[in-house]
Amino acid sequence: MILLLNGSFRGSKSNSNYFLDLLEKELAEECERVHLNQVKDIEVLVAKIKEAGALVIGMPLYVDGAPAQIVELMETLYSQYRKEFGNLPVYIISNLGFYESTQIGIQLEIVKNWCSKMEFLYGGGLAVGAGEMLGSLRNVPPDKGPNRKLGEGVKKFAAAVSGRKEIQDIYVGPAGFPRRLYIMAAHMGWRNMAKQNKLVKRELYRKRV
Amino acid sequence: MNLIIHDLEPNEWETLGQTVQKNTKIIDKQGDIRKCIGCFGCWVKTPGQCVIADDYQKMGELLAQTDKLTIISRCCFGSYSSFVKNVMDRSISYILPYFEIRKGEMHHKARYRNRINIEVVFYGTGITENEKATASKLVEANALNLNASVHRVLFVKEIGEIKEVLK
Repeated sequence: MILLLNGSFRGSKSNSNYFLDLLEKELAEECERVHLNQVKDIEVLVAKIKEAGALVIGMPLYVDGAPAQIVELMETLYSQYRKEFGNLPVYIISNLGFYESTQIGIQLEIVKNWCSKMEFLYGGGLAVGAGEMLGSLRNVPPDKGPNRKLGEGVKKFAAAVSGRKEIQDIYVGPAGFPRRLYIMAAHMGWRNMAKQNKLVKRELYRKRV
Repeated sequence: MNLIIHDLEPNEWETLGQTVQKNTKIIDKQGDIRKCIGCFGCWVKTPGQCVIADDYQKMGELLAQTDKLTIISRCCFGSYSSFVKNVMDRSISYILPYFEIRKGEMHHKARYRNRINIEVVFYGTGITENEKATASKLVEANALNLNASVHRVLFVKEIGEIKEVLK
């Protein structure tokens, strides 16, 4: 069994969970999904990890690193359960709002450092740039249009997970979609969200002091 | 204003013997803190303030008044500890949702005009060289995203050493 752990606190609707869905479609093995925000008892999660042949953690990039809930999980597993898992292969799918997936590099290093202390096999990471955009193109086939690089990346990543192999971290972003267009679309998105909240454009710049 | 964010227990903090001046604000883990849920509310619903009503809702406002930020954190695999990272995750109302290119990469535009100077003391036994390298990169990246600068990043083994290096 491959354990797919969704570390996003947006839960099942999150982009992180969607990228895990894409991976699962490429895996022939049985997979089990756990949403970290629904874990009430750490022992239950620990038991699942022990059962798993590989662990894939999906998460967003938060402030240049792993979200606090992931750091917390890494701290707990290291301080209380370190000796209990053997040489588990661990893989990461991370996404961020910025265009450049390379900004995920530090987060992958953090997981790598953790794996090394846990004596896990760090299998590799799939870093997805412009996650808010690629996460919203769920009706576009994963090998078409802007999703092309993502689709290729997921396939390559899935092959590594299936074979429990180590691969170089894979960095993908939207195919054939320039950064300045992404930024324009993102800015329009912020203004639309503000409007839905009955705010005018100017109010997004509000200063509290 | 000086802002100190730390993850020490009250008795550990005591050992630092910090005489807290009037213009210094301390953020410690004695409060009730919840996780950032990535809702973007601090950007598009209540701009400049987190929507989660707990003791760490106004981090953006605090950072807006900060000249010098001191972070004292256990080094966890090259990251801040979960508490300090939680505070950082809850602080993004300090910047705007809008983007600009800085140093060739996408980053958020500044909401405020102040520029923070950051110093970080990571502590812990058995911090590896790789972890030190990762942690240093993390602080640099944070500074770039927050339109801030890095004063220094220090590593110590024992909490007892923090007092000395912060002199």
